[in-house]
Amino acid sequence: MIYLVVVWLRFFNSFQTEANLRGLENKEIKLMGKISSEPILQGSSQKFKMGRIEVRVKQYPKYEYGQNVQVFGSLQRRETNRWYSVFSLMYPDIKVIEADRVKFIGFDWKEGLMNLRRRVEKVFNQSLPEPEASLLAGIVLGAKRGLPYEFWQALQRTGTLHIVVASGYNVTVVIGVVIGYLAGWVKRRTAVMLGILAIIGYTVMAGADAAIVRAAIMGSLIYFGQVLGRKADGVRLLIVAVMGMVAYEPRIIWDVGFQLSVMATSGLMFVGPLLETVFKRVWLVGGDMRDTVAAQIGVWPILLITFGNLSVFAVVVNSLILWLVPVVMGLGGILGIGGLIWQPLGQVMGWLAYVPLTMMVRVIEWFGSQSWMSWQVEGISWWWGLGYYLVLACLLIRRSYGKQK
Amino acid sequence: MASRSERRLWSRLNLGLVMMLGLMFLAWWQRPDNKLRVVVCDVGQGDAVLVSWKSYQLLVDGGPDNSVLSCLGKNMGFWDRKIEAVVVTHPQADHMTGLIEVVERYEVGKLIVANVVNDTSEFWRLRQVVEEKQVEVKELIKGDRLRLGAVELRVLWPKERGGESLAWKGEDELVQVLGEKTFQGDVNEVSLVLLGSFGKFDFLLTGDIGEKEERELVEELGPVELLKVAHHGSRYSSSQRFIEQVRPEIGVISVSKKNRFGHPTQTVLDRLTEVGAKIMRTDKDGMVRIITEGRGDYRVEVD
Repeated sequence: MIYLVVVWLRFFNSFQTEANLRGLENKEIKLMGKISSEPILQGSSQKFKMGRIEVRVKQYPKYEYGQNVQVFGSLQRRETNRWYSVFSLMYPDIKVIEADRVKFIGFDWKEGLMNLRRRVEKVFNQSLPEPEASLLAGIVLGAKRGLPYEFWQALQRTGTLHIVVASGYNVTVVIGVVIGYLAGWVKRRTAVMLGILAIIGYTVMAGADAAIVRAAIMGSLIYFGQVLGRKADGVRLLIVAVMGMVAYEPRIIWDVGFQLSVMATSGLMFVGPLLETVFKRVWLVGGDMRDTVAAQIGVWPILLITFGNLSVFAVVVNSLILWLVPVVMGLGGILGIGGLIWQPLGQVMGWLAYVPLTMMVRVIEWFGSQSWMSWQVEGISWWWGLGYYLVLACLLIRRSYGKQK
Repeated sequence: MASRSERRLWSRLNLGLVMMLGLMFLAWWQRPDNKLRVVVCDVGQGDAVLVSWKSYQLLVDGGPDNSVLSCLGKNMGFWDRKIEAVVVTHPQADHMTGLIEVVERYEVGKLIVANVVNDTSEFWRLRQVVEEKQVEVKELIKGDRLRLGAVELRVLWPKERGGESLAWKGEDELVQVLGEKTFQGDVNEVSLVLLGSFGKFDFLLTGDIGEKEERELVEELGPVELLKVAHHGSRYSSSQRFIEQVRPEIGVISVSKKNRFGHPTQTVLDRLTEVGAKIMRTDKDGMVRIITEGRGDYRVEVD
């Protein structure tokens, strides 16, 4: 009950901002503030956020997260639905404001982490060709900033875009590595706490998209539960994470990344175990196939409705490449750290990482160029998706009910 | 029965072995041969041409965005992080923007520039990264020569040296240059034009020159195998006289699908067809790659 009130209040609050902004539509506005997201490169332009407003400017000069800027232009609105629209400024006049000297007394953690991330990306870019370099940045850091457009399309067509989204897997690796290395040095409790801190740092570095935030909350809770001696229940953790995120920002339910992340996780949890018997027998990639099918069952209506295409053979492509992801993450991590210390060391690691990366790239590009890979279906209503999820939920409930009997 | 950690160690060693074998295979697969490759990259509305022989590369222009990077990825060995020379035919965004990331990511031997400044954010950014990475900048004019392994290149244009290349050198000169900006015309007029030859294979890279410049060049030109058609097939370039003189066997036009300039124009296409040229277009064919051993034979590949 209290929760509902909180959500409602937050929702009301954001609706107010929206209404205020709507009043300014098509008017010349002058905006002063910090760039609040990592700028993303798209063709010959770059895009970043300043709070609720998206700003698109030319590719150069480059802007960075955290810079203080002043923009002047006409406010555009693009409606997503009745309650939510995207506000943007297209190619406004933009000026960097020299940072306040006073601010530099304190250390901005977020800016420090973003800096680290930029330096790691630079190491990747200097030791590997494209698109391998940005695929690596995507897998390790969830960075989509530099992905060549054609390769991005191939990822989407083959249903493999999720590998460049930092998510649960990255969280598992980060905390696993921290705890693994600290075990024996410090008490387990301390190790877990440091691991959780590392997750938070990583989440910020990866741009704090919905998917990684969800994974970070769930991951931290699992390990936190371990310290308290409580067993983790995936379903409950997912519900807690979702409720927390919605309470913090109700509009997130219209964020496609959030929808996909939640439904894919649900698919893994509810549908995955049912498929176990079928895929158990498949050698090497059986587990990957099971997970892909389960996640696909969870997300395909969202993909179909939002993007209008369906990757029919996503399971095949995913089975071919998913087993390489941990290898790439490991090598990418070593490359990032090694390269920061000494570039030639990074170069050698880069060559090693090139092997699995180029295998992935070849597979994705080949399948992405096949016309039978994805089907275009336009104009499906949300009601179909809702109906699908209802039917799916009924089937799952009946099944578990039958088992109990 | 081996313990769990032992088994894990073994599987890691196996994986490492597989990766090493893969690496050796890829190195063998991408080994350099004795052929010249001229690649016209698909960079949308702009130009980027890679000339490559063995592990030597010359990149002429970099296109309007970063797509040139994927083109380099496809056409260079993965171990090769050095581009021997990069040419900026003239400092306009559709020819130079991609070069900024190229200079940041690759080791560039020399940067060869035309003698003009273009007061845009891309220009100053390129100058900044060139200075940061301490790339040697050279201004070339008509009569100068370049050698890239077995490939010989002659600079045919621009005719004379301008003062503005000083802008590449340092802050003090820069101020002076901006104080007395000398060049007033269209920067396309001072585009670098390169005539390359590899055995019996000649190729002409024309930048964005127009009819006026073509008239001055035409006397000293003979037939070529490959022509990078000037200014994306614009109506103000590729005059009848010029095309008849160079009689290309292949004419490549670097242009994007929907561009607001109406490039390439039908007249230019007709002129090329009349002299029997095979027309390749990056908007229709994607990346165009010409491979030759320099003995009068060549092969055209698209991607």
